[in-house]
Amino acid sequence: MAFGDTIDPALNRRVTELYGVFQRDPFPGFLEAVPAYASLTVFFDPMVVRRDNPDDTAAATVQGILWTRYRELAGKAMEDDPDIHEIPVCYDPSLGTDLAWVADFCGLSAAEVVERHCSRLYRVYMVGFVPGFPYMGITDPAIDVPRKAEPTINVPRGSVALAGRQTGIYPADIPGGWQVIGRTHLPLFDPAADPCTLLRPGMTVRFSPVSLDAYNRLVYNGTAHT
Amino acid sequence: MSTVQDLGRWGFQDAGVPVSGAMDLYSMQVANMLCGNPPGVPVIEAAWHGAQWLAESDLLLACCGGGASLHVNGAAAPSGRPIFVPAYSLLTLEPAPHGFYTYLAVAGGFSCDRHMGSASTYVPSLLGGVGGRPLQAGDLLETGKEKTALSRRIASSLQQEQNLFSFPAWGIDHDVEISNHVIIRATEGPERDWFGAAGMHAFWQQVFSVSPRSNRMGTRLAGSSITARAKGELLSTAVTRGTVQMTHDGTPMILMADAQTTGGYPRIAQVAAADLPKCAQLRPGERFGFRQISGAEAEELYLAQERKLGQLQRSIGLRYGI
Repeated sequence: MAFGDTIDPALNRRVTELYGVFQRDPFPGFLEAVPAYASLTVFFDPMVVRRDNPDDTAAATVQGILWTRYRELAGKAMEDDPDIHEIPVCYDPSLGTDLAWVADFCGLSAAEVVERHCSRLYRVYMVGFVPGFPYMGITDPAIDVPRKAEPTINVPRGSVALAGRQTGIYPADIPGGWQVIGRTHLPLFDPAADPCTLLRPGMTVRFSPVSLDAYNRLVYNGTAHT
Repeated sequence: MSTVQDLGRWGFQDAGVPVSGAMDLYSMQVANMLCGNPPGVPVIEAAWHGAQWLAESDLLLACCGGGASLHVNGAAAPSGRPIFVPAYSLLTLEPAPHGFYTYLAVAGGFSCDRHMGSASTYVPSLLGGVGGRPLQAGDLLETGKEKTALSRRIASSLQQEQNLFSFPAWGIDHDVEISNHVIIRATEGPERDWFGAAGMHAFWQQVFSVSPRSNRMGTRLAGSSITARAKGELLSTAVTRGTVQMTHDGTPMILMADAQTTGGYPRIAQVAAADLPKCAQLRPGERFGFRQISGAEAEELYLAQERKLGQLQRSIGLRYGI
């Protein structure tokens, strides 16, 4: 079900609200739902849906359920997740390898880029691309930067990055094209944990800067406990 | 490359975790059913280049799919039926001219790592299988301790002389389609308006060939390029196995088992679920075309295939009085 084609918190709230409805109250045959910026995709087992609704295609039945649930939501006041999830980030140039480039591109100092990144709250719009990668926004227009023309072969795990009006965090060492401005010690994805990701659609996030020393201590303490 | 796979890791696509699972889910389930297993227990998925295993104990197994044929101690074994092999048999998959993935199922399934409810191997996140990686020479895989009553009946009906492998007279006919021009049925994708009537017509008429740069994440296609009328990037949306994306250079890619859960390329078509096994068995260099069908037709084809699998399972059970 598509709600639009822009990065818009109000649109995305509709998506995550509807997603929440199916998490709490799935219909028989429901498998899972995947929120994206402005759409919700619902996966279902056609055998089960048809068995319960033999007179229509399963797809038509599920479309009907989507619309009914959506209309039920429309009358209700939308509630945001009250918690703000804080992500400690070290913006030292050894970790924020593209910070200098971003500053130069935007005509700002590195400190100003960091300040602009940390001074607002972000919504997690969706998680995708790789397990645990959060798409967050909307960043300050002053730090709107393009993706790299050629992706970096290896972006280190925990890298905090920018692309357009979005900011994200790489959950693993993987190739990537976003501009890396810092790094967090927090694990974004743990298959043994429940839930398996640190961040989920609809959450509110704030980045807080930490020194390189503090970052190294956090990393050390983290590995000492695992 | 060989990996352990099952029906896939469902329930975590909203966390960015792909479903993975067997590339050819139909052949995988048939292989399991042939040796009396529930259809979803872990199997070995082997690519056509070949593989070799040593049975360390007596085994009831079955091979199904395409791309290779099973030999036991050098002798060809028939496909499409359960096979009982005595301990220390050498099992070899010899490459065949058509098809890509063969499934080796054993009674009781294979024991391996499980993550988030599934044994399916997803290498990029080291999930499932044996350490989340492809199988290597020297790996030892145990079969599950619990074998169904059906598996035990099939095995005892086949156990004979010590040094010969045995199989029943019956078998199921499930061969990879051999054709100069395979047809893959698909529905129009959500971004069909980006391509317009002319672009869509070109897509349905085109003869594509499979690129050697294909893998478990996606089957890349080569052919004349089809350009979108509207240039621009699509806001990321969820995608799934069978989604046909049109990439920047104008060539399509069919997303497969290990594909990312979300994507920003326009979706020109969606392969019918019933034809995904056929897609999985396409070999690089092979030529094929898409044929447009409606969503309702695609659903009927899928339901018919599921019913067929159910019938197959029941008929095998009936043969052995289960």
